Amino acid sequence: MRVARLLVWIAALLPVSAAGLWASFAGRWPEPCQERLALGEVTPRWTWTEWSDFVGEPTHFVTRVLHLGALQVPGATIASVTWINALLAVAIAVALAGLLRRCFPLQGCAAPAALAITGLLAASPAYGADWLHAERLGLFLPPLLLLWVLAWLHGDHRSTLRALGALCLVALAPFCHTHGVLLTFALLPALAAHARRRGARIPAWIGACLVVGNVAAVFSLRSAGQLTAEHSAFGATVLAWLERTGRAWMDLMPSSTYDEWLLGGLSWLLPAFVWWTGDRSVEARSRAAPWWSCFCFGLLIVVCDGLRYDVEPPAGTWREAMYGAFLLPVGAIGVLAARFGNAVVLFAGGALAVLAVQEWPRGVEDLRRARMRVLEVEARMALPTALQPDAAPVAVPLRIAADVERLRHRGQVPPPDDAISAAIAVATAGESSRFGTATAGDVHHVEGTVRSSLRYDTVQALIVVAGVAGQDPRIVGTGDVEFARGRNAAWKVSFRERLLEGDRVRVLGYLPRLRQLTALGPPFVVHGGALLPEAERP
Amino acid sequence: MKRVLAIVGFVLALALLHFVAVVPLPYHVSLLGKALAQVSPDLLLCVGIALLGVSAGRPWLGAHLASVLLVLVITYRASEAVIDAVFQRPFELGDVQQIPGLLHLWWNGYAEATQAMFVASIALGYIVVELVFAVALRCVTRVAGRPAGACAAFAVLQLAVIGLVAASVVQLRVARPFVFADGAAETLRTVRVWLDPDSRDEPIRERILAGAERLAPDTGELLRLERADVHVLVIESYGRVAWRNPEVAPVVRTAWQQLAGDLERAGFRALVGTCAPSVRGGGSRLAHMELFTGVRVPDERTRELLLASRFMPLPAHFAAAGYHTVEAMPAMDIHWPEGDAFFGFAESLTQIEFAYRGTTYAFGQMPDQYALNVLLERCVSKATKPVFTAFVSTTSHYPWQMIPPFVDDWRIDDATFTRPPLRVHPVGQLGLEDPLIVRQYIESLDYALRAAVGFVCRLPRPSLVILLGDHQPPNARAMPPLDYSFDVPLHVFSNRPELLDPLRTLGLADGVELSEEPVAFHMAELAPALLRLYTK
Repeated sequence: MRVARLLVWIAALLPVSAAGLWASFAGRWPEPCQERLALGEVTPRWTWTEWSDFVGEPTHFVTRVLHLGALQVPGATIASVTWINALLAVAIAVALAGLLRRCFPLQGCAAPAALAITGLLAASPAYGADWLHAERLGLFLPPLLLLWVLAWLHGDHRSTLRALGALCLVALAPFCHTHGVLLTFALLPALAAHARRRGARIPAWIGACLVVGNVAAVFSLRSAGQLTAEHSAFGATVLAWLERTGRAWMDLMPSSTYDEWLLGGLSWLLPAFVWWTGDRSVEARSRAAPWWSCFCFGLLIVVCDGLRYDVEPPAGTWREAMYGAFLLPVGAIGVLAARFGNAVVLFAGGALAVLAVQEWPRGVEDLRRARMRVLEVEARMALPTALQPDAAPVAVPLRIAADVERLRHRGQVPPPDDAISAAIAVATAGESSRFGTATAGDVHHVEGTVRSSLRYDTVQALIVVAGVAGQDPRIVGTGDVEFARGRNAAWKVSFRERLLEGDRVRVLGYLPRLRQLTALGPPFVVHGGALLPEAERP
Repeated sequence: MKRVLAIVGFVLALALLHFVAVVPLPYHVSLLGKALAQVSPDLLLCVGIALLGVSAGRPWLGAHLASVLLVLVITYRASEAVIDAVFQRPFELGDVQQIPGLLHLWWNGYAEATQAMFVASIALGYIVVELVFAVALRCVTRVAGRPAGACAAFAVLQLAVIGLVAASVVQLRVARPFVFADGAAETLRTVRVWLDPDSRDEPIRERILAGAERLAPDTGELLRLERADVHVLVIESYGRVAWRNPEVAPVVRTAWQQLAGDLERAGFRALVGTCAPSVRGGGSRLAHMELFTGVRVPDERTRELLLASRFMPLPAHFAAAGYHTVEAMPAMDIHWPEGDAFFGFAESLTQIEFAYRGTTYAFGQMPDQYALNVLLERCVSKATKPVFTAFVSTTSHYPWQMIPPFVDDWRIDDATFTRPPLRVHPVGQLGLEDPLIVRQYIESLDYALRAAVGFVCRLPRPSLVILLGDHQPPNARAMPPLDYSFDVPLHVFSNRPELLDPLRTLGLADGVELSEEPVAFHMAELAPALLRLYTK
């Protein structure tokens, strides 16, 4: 029996442990600095002397120090420290499951099931880039701090100390991530319930939380500069906000936005309905308080990111930016369960589990696309300038060029691929249709497709060489691939010069992880102004 | 009736707190309306703290804490205003060290007992203001006596904060700067520097090292000067704005046209150009340090590190070349042997040596002409070997209130300046935007330039004279059109024309009138250039 229980718990841990798998696809270079600044996130630093330099970015020193500290572990690389994100996700799932167990009598398999569901929510692959860059660890901290505080406030002993601890975390949270500011407001229901239970002065604790939280928020955000809003039509704005709120519930109907509007609308109206209905006894209200906090936190994340990014985040997706918004549906279910009985937990929890499971396959697609962005940066950093894709800006993911050498010197990022030029010179790469192919072309361009993969390496840069027999091939064009939905991505490379009749053409794809070239399609020959496979040459 | 009184008290207290929290010092009627329409985040914080005290059952503790915070905020804001006006740079906590200097600037001329009374009044004033604010905060937060009232009050405060954020998002400027946050950030920065001084000092040390290398001559001899005397006349607050401002420039131009005639009659040729110190509006001693060391000295810390270093400044090089080096500082009321040793001055003239017995002037006690006359008679005329002198003027020092009489024939004795000043102007400290202050500036600068050129014309031996401003005047940013540059005019005179030729490489042109054309070189380049150009 004990073994069976152990196996059940291990099985329950599987969803959240997938976070480790997602983190194993982490980028070997940091997230591009410009993208982080555009997102309004703190940028990493690589030496302790710089830990407190915040220029045009929020003062999220906790995030920066954690990241910098992890990089000090001997042998740590930019990619390896991403395990912190996975660990934080595990901690979030465990804390959320623990809170559920404290609030509702979960019997038998219900407790492991709760852990499995929270794991499905917290470790969803739909959070894409959040699993691939350790700099994003700050996103995981506010929900974790919130859940820890809620667990503290749920306890009975040393209530003043618990409340003071909560205030300390409220003061700390804004220095982890911008979402940390929301703890100030999200905690108010739980703090008030805690004070009411202990017979303490409710306004004093609420006031202390607001004063501490607001001051910490000012200190953390004043270095980030000014927020600006764009004016758009009222109706469109309301629908956009409902859609964003609905996304926190996961995607019920992927091909439509009606479900997001409906769930978003219900979320905003929920307080109005639930506040006055169901069991309103002191005990039930006390039990509902932490879930109101979760609900508020999720809702405020939507509001906060809506204000920060307006139409679309400058890099990545809404889901990636809104990590922690899954506490909105969890909170809503918790509130409903506290008001209308534990059966709601089973019913709504089950529905949520179905939604989460349904979302995972699409989440893997999101993760794959995020990984393509990561590999693109790796390819850019590995290739020499002459082989960089034409007409594409060189993306240096670091703040200053000197940091590239510093990180390379420490062995925390890959060195440049010096051997690649020699390999191109002989153009002897083996052909494999697994990575993609070249299909057609003429004297001006060549085109084809590339197959992207989450698990395996993917061609990120294209190099076209041409020449006549007996001479070294010359590079006639370079290009990159734009990955969208679907695993196959079309590409097209325009030549820098007009090819001559009889030129032999090869398309080489660069695989950044394997650090080698692969031939895409067969060798071509220019014949009659078109590219013909060499084997089909008349 | 009690309720009405409470409401009236609430409104009056809130009005008082709002006024002191939003209206910037110094109070200007023209700025009142705009300021009063804004909301102070500091006041919201103070009210929040006071409310917290009420909610926690310790209303007076909360009110006093909030009151002390409000007093600190107002003091910090006033300090920012003063430092911006006087030194034209952001306030740093290290500027607390400037307080004695500022008090000296303001209270110079008052008896010691009066000065002590001023200090006591300020301390008492602080206590009274703190108590008034505490009572006002208590009146405002009385509504939060009941839990519902406290919750409502906190909600209102939070809504106000959210409103300020929302207003800033849509570019509505309704929020005053959050002085508490600025002060706390500055405190943290100061603590960080205190914990890790090298993070601040190391770049400065590197700058000093580079300056020392630039100032080291190839050979130790200043042979191209041919043993001519060298005089450096630093004219206080003589900035390029004097040649740019439409009100000041005509007067200065006319004055220089007359002075050019005097110089010519005395056998002096002139060059003119411009250079830029690292300070403007104030911080004269930083400019002096920069002038003589060839190191950029934008802050006090650089000056301190320079003084503690084994640097060999320009006067020390002249001393090594066989010159008798003299510093004349009529504003100094004490000896400064450490400074003399650092700069390499063999002789120093302070108020003690000048022994001035005439009318006491607002800054520096004595008129420039008196000090220059003493320098001329005591150190230059009687010199048996070439002299290098450095004179720091005082008459053109802000606030330019008292204009001394100018003695045309330079027959000056102890009784000459016992007569009253030629003119006493009414505008005092912090009156930079007052239109009258431009007239004061013109008159005092005119006097200082006449005195300096009069000194030059009476030099008895072959001489090279460098006359320059130490920084832009503090009102350069207050007189329209505003001048934000750091430039100061630089004049060089000599009764041995060949001595002027090397200086043309610095971009100096013939004459005394400064046009808009010359581009300023950095003042820190002057000392190395002098050594380089006159060393054979």
